[in-house]
Amino acid sequence: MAKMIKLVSGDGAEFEVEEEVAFQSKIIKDIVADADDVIPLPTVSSKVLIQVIEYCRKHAAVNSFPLSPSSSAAAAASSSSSISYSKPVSDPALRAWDNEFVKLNNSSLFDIVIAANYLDIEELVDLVLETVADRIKGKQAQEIRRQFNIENDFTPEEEEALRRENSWAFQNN
Amino acid sequence: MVSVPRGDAEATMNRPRPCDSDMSTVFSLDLLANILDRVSDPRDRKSCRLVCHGFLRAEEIHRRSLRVLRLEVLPGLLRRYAAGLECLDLSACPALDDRAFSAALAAGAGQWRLRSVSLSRASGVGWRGLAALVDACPRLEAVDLSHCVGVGDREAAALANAAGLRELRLDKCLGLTDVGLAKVAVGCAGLEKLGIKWCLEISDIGIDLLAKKCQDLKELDISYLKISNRSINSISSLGKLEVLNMVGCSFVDDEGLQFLKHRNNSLRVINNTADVDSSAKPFEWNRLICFLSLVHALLQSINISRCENVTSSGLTSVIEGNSGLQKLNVGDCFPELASLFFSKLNDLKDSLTVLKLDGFQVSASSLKIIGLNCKNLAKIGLSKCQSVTDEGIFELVANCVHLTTIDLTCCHLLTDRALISIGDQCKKLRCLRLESCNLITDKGLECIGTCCSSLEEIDLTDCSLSSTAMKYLSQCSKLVVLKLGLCYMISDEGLVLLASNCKKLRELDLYRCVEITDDGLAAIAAGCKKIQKLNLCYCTKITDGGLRHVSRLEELRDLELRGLCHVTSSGIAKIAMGCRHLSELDLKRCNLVDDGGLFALAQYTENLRQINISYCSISGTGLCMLLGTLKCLQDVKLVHLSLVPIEWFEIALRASYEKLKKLKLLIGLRNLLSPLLIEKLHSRGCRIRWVEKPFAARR
Repeated sequence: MAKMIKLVSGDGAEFEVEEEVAFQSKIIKDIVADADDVIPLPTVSSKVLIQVIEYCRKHAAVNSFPLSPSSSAAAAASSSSSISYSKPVSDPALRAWDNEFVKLNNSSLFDIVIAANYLDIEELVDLVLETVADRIKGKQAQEIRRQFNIENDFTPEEEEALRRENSWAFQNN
Repeated sequence: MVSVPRGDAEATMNRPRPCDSDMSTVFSLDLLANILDRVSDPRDRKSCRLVCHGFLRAEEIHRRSLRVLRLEVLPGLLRRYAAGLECLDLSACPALDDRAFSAALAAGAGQWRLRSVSLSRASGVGWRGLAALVDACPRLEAVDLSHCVGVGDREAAALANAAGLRELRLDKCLGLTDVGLAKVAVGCAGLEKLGIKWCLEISDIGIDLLAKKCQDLKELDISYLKISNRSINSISSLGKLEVLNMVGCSFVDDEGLQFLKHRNNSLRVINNTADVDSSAKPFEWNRLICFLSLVHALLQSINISRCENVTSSGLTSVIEGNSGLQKLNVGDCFPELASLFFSKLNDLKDSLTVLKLDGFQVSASSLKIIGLNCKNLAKIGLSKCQSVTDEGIFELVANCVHLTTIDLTCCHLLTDRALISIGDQCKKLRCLRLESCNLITDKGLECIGTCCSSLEEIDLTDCSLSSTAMKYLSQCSKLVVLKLGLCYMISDEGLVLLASNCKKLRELDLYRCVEITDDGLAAIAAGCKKIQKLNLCYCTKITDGGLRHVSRLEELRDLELRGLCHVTSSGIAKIAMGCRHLSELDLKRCNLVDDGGLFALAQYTENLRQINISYCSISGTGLCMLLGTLKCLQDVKLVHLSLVPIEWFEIALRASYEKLKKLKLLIGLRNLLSPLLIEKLHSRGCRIRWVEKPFAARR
């Protein structure tokens, strides 16, 4: 019989999940080790928690072990980058599922990644950030702002100075 | 890496409101930096910088290396990036001097984590600037001052305070003497890589102290120094030395090389070529080779090109002693290579991947032996091996099927049959050089085009090709570099074929392909959008219309338009407006181009670094505008500007003396320009070439 962990969302809803699913989150894994099996997550809403649990459930089924060993190995391997990536998802079926999972609007994606970051679910963070990065690639600044509804908080002088820097630096060969 | 989200619970309800999706406020700096890390294209990164303050901050903490092209933005940039920057390249920053450099370093005072700084050719930087650098950057490990000809002992003394220095390039720092070298040796005892090529004031004394103090040296370049055998004795004590370059050390002879015999076996590379026209006692290379073979069991790469006195037996010994040899360059030595040498290559059959025999008489049977012995060969150089025949190539490629690079420049005897052999066997071929193989025709390219789908680079200069060859070559969709200079018969049709499939083309050389017209350029502009380098010299049918097409090549950096007698300022203006990354432009003998063209360049091509406007119909105004406005301009050729009065030359050069590094002028001007101006130019490190050229057109 699988051990169940109870997660309580910000709006008070309770979700019971199998231990191995919950342990996709390193934070939860650590908390359960010290304390009891009811974990309040005040900053995560039900809607987001449902989606995160769905992800964890799918990935727990595929991976036998939680992610910590591989992510620390990846961290050790990449010395130059300040960001460490978890190992890429190798199973094509899982990758396809992931791609469907992230077909969400920006707002939902942001909520998920913030929750995943809070819960320290490295693969989910990677997945969403990669998706966001893809939505940035190939775009001009104005397009990026439009895509993500970002306000341009530069003064015209600042923007002009930045454009000049762009043309007079950063070029390779 | 856990951050507290700032959106409240309400915000995550079903109805998305615009302000909630603003990730620059909702995400922490770490997350934003993480996203930026995944955006690898530099252009995308530049766009991100402009989005909002949040993005800019994330980019700032993330950037590790920076290359600055203009002085004005240096302080601001360094202030922004000081906290994270590790590599700084200022070699292309014009008019950089001590004051500006020190001020820029002060902008990030206390934060610097710089490890590597390049000031190569930054001739305005001296000991004050270097002292400021060493002071500000406690983690400094690598400094490049190569070609700063004014650098001398005072600068070396400043560098000697950087105790953590590992890599130092002082090549062509002509002011450096033993005194300066000693200071560096004592102060930077952990030095691993040192280049003091051409520092002619260095003597045995300096090398001796260097060897005593810097025992960690792995790479040393002492080429062209006037050092004697004593230095080799000193160097032989460097137990960790892996790479030794001693090109043109004409005062070293066999006696000196004896010392290399008693070393530890860590030497990997020796580059030991003598001056070709050295009148000193001829270098006894055979003995050198013998010693090398005794000592260097771990040698990976040998370059002994241009050694007149090396004979086959010497080279044979090299191979005998070095079974791990990967790269062997024995080009331009002497004509004959005995067959023993070739059969000895069998000793290297597993390891040898690169073999260069430029300038040798290599027979077909020799090539057969190479083929049989070195099956792993990836690159072969047979440039100027004029006796190479189709049969020889056939024998070679029959066994060397892994070849990726074949250099057959000036192998005049080769015909299409050689290409057919190559196409049949070398499916992995990436680079093929056939310059001056005049017997090659379209038919030869048919096999290459069909079989060598990985082909990236091909040089067909001076081959007898027509547009039909382009039909075959266009099958090579990975083509990046294509040189068709002097292929007179290439026409627009060929360019259309090329543009239809070779979308990755970056370099296209159509020098003197006189049949090309504007229509051909239209096709290229439409199909080969990644072109960075384009040579259209003497393609005299091209007009402004053609240049309008070229202006659509947004990636264009290097454009050569010599002798285009129908092109006017209007065409140049279009180029200026369209090709904003233009860095090098050659307009020599475009006699219709006048001030209008220069005004446009001054206004739009901010990154222009090199220009040749010799023989153009420009006046003083245009010249002043160009030289005064373009901040990156470093290399200008101004021969025969007959409409420019001498006073205007003076004004224009005064306005730009701080940034110019190379200048080409008619010799008559030497006495007409003020001595003060010339002295000022020299003091900033500008090299002036005075030429004697007739005005008459060449054709």
